[in-house]
Amino acid sequence: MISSRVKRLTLDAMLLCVAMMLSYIEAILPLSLIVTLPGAKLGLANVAVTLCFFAISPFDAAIVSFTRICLTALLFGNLNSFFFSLSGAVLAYFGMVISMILKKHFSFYGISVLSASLHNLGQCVAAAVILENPGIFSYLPLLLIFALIFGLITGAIITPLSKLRVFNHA
Amino acid sequence: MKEKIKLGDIVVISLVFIAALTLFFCFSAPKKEDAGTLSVSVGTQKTQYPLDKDDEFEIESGSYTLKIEVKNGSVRVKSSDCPDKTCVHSGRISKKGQLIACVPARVILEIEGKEDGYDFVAG
Repeated sequence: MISSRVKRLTLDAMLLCVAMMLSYIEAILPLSLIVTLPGAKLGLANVAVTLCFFAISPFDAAIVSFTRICLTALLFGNLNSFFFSLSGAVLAYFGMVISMILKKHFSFYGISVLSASLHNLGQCVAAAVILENPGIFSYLPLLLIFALIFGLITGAIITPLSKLRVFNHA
Repeated sequence: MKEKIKLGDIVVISLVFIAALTLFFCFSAPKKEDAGTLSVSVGTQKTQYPLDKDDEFEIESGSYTLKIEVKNGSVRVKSSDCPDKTCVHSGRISKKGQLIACVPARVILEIEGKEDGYDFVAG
């Protein structure tokens, strides 16, 4: 009989791994050639974090998200990208907490769109602070539109995944 | 439990959409057609260049060098040795309020209108 704590640890580790891979895929995808908008990302790593938040626990999701950001920044990024990801992820996490409280009224589509938009807002704030120039907010409207589209896409990915049997008794 | 689109989803989606539209109109409202000046911020230091004269120059910031090209009243980053090259991929900007940001080099290129106080008059 496998203890539930071991199962939880294993699932967290697995989701962290998946999130890392998804971040890597995003980093090498030449998205910037199609969408010339800085900060526009698919947000695939958010699939793993959202699953962790709702299928395991908010605490585990915070650990997975923070570890992912540290590792991704160390492997593919720099100090700036670390702060971008961190501020985005903190706000996205906040969005998930809101939708957790109001979970009767939300599906994964709304949750993804909310956390993706808040993520972009967080990134804009971080960029404005780092560059000491509020003009960066003129990117925000387009980023929000992308967050809307990509949030719906990641929502469509999360919905079937959340029904996997491994998550049922975590 | 979380399969169908629910009320909260619709609220969030429409709020994001409305926010995007509102912000878009806020930022694009005071647009002027005439070429203004190019304002280059390196960190907190601001320098201005004329837009009506074709020019090419280099900006050094930290350990990075950006090659800027001014042509026909529009500006682009021709090349840069920063790691992500977002500034180069941003393409050309020519309208007031548009900007190109190079985060690793802490450089922002911004087009400012003629009425926004300038340091010198060219020509």
